[in-house]
Amino acid sequence: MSEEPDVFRCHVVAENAEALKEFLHETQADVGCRAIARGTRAGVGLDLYFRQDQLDQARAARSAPLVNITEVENVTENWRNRKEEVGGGDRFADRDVVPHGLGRKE
Amino acid sequence: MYLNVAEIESAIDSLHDAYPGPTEITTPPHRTHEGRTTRLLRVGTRQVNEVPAILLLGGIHAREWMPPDALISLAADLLEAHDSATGLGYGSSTFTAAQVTQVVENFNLFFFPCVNPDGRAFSQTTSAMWRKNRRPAPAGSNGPSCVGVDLNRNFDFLWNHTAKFATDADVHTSDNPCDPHVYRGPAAASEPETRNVVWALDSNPQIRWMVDVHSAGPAILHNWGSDQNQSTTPTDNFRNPNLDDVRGRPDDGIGEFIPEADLKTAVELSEHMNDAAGAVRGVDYGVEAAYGLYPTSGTSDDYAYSRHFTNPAATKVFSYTIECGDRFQPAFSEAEQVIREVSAALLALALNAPNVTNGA
Repeated sequence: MSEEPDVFRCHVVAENAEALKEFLHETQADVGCRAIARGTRAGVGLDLYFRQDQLDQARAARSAPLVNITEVENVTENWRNRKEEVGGGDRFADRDVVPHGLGRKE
Repeated sequence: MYLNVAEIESAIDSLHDAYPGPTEITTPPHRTHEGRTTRLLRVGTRQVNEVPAILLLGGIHAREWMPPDALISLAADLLEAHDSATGLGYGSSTFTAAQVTQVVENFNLFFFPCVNPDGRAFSQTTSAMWRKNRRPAPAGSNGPSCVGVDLNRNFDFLWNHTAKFATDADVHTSDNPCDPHVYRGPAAASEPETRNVVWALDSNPQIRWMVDVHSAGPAILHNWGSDQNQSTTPTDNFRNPNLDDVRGRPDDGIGEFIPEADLKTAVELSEHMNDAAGAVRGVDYGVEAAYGLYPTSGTSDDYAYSRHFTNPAATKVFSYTIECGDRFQPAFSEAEQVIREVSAALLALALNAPNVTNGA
């Protein structure tokens, strides 16, 4: 069990890229793999990852009024569940057990 | 079930045992900080020197659990379908038996499914959001986040971001060893995992395309990530020290040079991948240059493509990053759908690469 504080995935939308960048610059948030933002009717948005204390700070940031923050998922809680879906031993230790891909053979 | 680190390696062994003809296992020379070896599985019926090759990377970022599983799945699919002379279907994205034959018999595909096994093991057991490798913390630095280097900031491409970019470019890289996510490492290619990827490229000059599979997005990214693309001023490039004070700023009229033909190839192949991934279940990944909100330095895709500029004797490697799915660790039932999208995209790359790249 992780002793780290829970992390939350949040979708953050700003009116434009400049406003979003201002928020990111101030909060130094974890932007995921790459900072790829997408435009929608609501503006420009991307997923960010915060611990609860970071999220509280982000919501209080000077640039916070420029963005809309929506909490999407408790990533750590999800991870606790996903760990149950990680192989526990070695399914292919017996060399006769061959992996099969997910494609339909047709 | 997601593959653990041991299963990735034993899956490679099992596939080679089951299909010894069209496969070969190679072991890069550098052990990880925790002493693990990693392997590449080559899939292809032709000798290494006979046909062009594609390098497929997964697992560079530890918390992104799907890419290694996707690469093992695709390798298994190709070998089984080729052996039984069938086609492959992923949702509504389908490939004929002749196309499977075309891929396996006209290419070598180097699958490097788990570049960073130390990080994956840590993420799957201890820390949900662990991204880096497990380089020990430097002397005098305490705290769990002082461990590790972001391998996708460690490649020898504009690695020294504090010297190579405008100070206000906000490069998405850090020189702080305790940065939990994007620490670049103490030197370019300091990490054994990075050097193993470099070794794969050095050892196989037939590699003409590379895809580094990450999550999450979804998005299909092509060069460059260091600055906005431009095709009009060849001297505005990563080797030009006169740009070190201005590199990376958006919309300033100075960008990273990419020849027009190469940009056309980069976009066209990305669109083929996007179309194939989208046909699986309707998800539009979208195609864009890797320069997003911020520039990046030291990434695998920019490094691979930059090599032929730095060394004219090196092979030009068209390089892509697939950001698959919309989260790092979805339920495996969702991961299976994402794996199908990645598989379809990579097959589309292989099938279209020769024609699209011809002459570029």
